[in-house]
Amino acid sequence: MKPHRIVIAIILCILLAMPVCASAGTWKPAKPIKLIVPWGAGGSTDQVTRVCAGELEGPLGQKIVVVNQPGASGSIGTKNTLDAPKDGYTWTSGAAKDLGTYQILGMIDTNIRDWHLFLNISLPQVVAVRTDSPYKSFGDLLDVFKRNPGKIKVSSAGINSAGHSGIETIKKYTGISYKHITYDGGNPAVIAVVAGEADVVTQLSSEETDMLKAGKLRALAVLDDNPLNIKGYGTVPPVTKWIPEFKGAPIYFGIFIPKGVPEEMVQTLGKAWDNVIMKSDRLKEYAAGRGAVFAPSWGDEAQKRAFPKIQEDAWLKWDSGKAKIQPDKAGIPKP
Amino acid sequence: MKPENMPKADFVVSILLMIFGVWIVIHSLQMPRFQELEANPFSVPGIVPGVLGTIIFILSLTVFIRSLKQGGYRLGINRHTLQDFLRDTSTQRMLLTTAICIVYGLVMIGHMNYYLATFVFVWCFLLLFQYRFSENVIVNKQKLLITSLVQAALTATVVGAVFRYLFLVDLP
Amino acid sequence: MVDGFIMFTKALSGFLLENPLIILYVLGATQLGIIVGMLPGLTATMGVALMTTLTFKMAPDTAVLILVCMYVGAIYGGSRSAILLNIPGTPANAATAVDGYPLARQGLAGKAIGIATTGSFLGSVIGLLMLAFFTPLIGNFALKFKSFEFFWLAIFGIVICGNLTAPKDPLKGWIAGFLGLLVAMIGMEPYHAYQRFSFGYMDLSGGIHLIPAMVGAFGFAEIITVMKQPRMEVVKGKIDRIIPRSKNIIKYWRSIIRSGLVGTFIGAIPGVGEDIAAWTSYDLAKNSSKEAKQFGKGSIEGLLVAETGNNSAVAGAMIPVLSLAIPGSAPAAVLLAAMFIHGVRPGPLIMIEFPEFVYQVVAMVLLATTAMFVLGLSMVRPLVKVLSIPREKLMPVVFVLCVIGSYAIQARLFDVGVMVVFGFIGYYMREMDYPIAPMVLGIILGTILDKNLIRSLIISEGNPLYFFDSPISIIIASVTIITFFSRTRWFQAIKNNIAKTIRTKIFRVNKPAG
Repeated sequence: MKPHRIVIAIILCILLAMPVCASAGTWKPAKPIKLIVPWGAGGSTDQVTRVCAGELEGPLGQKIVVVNQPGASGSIGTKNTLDAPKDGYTWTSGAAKDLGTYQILGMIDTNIRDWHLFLNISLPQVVAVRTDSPYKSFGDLLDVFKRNPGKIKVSSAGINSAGHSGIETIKKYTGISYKHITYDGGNPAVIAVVAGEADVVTQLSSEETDMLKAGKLRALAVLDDNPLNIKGYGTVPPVTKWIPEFKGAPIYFGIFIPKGVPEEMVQTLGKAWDNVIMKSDRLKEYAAGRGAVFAPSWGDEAQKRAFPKIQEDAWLKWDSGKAKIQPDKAGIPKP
Repeated sequence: MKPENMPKADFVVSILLMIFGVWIVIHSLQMPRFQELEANPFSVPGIVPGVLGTIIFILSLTVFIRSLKQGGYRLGINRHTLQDFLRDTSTQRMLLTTAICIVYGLVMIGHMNYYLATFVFVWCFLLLFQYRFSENVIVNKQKLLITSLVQAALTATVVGAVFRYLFLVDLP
Repeated sequence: MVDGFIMFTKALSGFLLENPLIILYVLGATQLGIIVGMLPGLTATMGVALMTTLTFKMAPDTAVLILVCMYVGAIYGGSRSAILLNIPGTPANAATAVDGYPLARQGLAGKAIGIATTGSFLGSVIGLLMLAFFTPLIGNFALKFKSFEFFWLAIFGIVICGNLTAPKDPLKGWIAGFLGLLVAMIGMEPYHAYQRFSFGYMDLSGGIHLIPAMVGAFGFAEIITVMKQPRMEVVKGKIDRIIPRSKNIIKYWRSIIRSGLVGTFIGAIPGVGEDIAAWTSYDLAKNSSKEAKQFGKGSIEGLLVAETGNNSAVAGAMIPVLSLAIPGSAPAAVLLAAMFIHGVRPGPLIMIEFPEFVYQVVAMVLLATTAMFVLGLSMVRPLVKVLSIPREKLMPVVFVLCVIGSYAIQARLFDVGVMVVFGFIGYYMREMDYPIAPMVLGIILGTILDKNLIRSLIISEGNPLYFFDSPISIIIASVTIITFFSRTRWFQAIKNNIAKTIRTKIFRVNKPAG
């Protein structure tokens, strides 16, 4: 069963019990806000979203109930948000590049421009293997991939997830092929490598941090042009050391609200983003501990930041034959 | 159902199940394969339901063969047995129960006030069964009317209030 | 281990001394849990989710304590409606009804409740000992479960449950189980997000939810069955003794310890919950019992092990929550989310970073278990009176509860419809001698089977040898296959032949000596 349905019931009850007190200009939520995490509990979206929700409750003066609705590469929870009444009380969260590519994958008919984006952090993908694995460096791994095409098992949180796009980008530059195995979320995908069911994981740094620190995983490379420092583990070399022409755009995470909600709601949340999230010590501390980059933004700025990764990812999917709609027909020009 | 009737029942049910299994398999085969996406052939949506449909078919085929051996195909349904079936008190009680429950669960709930719907349902249920099928002679019709009324009112308020205020359920 | 014990005592005394109000919280939350468990439709998952919202503002340790009490209470509470009405309150109690309800029909409802309570208590205690001393070990055991093992476990669950609930004709039990698995196929599929069997209906694309289906198939079907009979004897509830005699319990110590251990381990396997734990320990007990014939007709041992199994799984389910940040069962998933909300970060580092939290959880389970035992044995007498209410008066109330219970989960009228439809399916299945429990278990295991079979096939590229690649796979697979074929005639014939040869050989060997 899904506990979030009860939350809806609770929210509806409280709505009935409380008088709606809305004043012009600033938006004062009259009932708890439902924030959907379209991935499993404990994954990277889940963690950062919960931190943000905790920070926003004070300034908004209302409870934010975080609800996990995992399944079908995040599309189930996102679709539920889109189908909910546009009153500003149902938000979703996740990676902006997922939101921007559901349309071309034929999963949900929604465009990134149909959403208000409130970004909080950006995360790079980290290529990691089990500690007792014979692959000591990313170079070793590439050799093995080339020697055994289609045999090495790569785990991810599903088609279109961060891990999947990570390995697809590597594929684009090196021409390797692999065996893709999907799990319910980033955390289960990481566990699968620890347990030995898959060989390599390319999920986000935050999802691998715990296992890296516990000594069960070895990080081989970060998919970025700068090395990544993870507090309590060490420095992960950049992938450009082996593939110099590699160009990766960071994956932005955030909270998303479909357009059509009251304008004062968007402005109020924007103000809270400026005043609280951009100064949040908890979020900064979280980012530092999880190998993430603290990078809040909203409005047009957020659209501008998130777009390059969407372009890259959308065309990657089109070129590899995984997309159903050509990206420029969905308003995503070739990078 | 008496045990000696079982081969006949098995015969009918196993035929229905076999048709169901075949239908599932056909439906699974018609599901998209996502070949244009270069999807892994083992990840297509129809594979698991197809396997399950096949298993259902094989298992019900076994039941079918067994019922044939036991002579289950001699159904022996005629007007007489049907009449007996319909006149049977059990059948009447079952039909009444399901009818009244369906009216409450599918028609009344959601279309009228929850407390009122529940009250009417419990009261009708109590009266119908105690009046129509009572095992004892009814001593006092008035007393029955009133106790049922009280029980119906109590059920409606207590259940409604507990779910509304303790479990925070928004009543239909 | 000494460190552990010190930390445990500290945590326990911390709870009791710092805040005397805590006892009230514990009793209140456990009692509420028992009520939630008793009512058909309200499940442990829902109870824990509800309490998460209500305890949002409390201190982290108090909040998690209340949630644990809710969880333990709800899994136990479901045994009561299973015994008294033959309607399991939560899916975990379906095995409890198999022996509990016959006992109640024999007028031994009070005794049955006492046995169930004791079983639950002992199960919890075994589970919490394991939680206290073997969390890292069992955490690693949970890691051994990969796609192939999960696949076999799902099939195993269906096969043993079908075998147990339809002892005369297991074929029908298995058909029911596979039908349940098919029901779980309805809705959006996890790999490509394709909507299977939804025929364009929005409501169906979300899938059939377990709870309304279960409430209908057990609850509504039971109402029709009971109301149908032209006359029904009212059970005279004579209660001699609720607290079971200790010699009656000690007699079964082997079964209890076995069920407790099995329950903890199964609870620890991610995604597989209390329900499979109960069925497996029931199966093991039946196979090794001297009183196997009594099982299903009101066996004390059967009732005892079913409850020991499901309640030890509660503690078991917390092990991967703590050591891997992966929930062992659905309510444990909500518990994990609640820990995140309160800023506690369980995971592989917990034994290094916050070992005291593990022992705090052990102390919480102990408090919850004690409260459950005390509350469970009190108030039994008025409860047993339920049995002496004439069915005309009882059944409309039960149906009202079924309706609101299935509605409560998602506040969707569609679910009331699902409940009614599954009521009919359940009723006709029963009439045709098909058991309902395997179907409900099938609905639970359907998604597990789907995801893991697909994953297994991708990994193995369809090579069947991979399905027997690890010791755990081989064990589960061979038990499943033996259970399956042991009911066929030729298997029996071979078995008898072997037994015969052995006997004759021994007979010949023994002849000269005798």
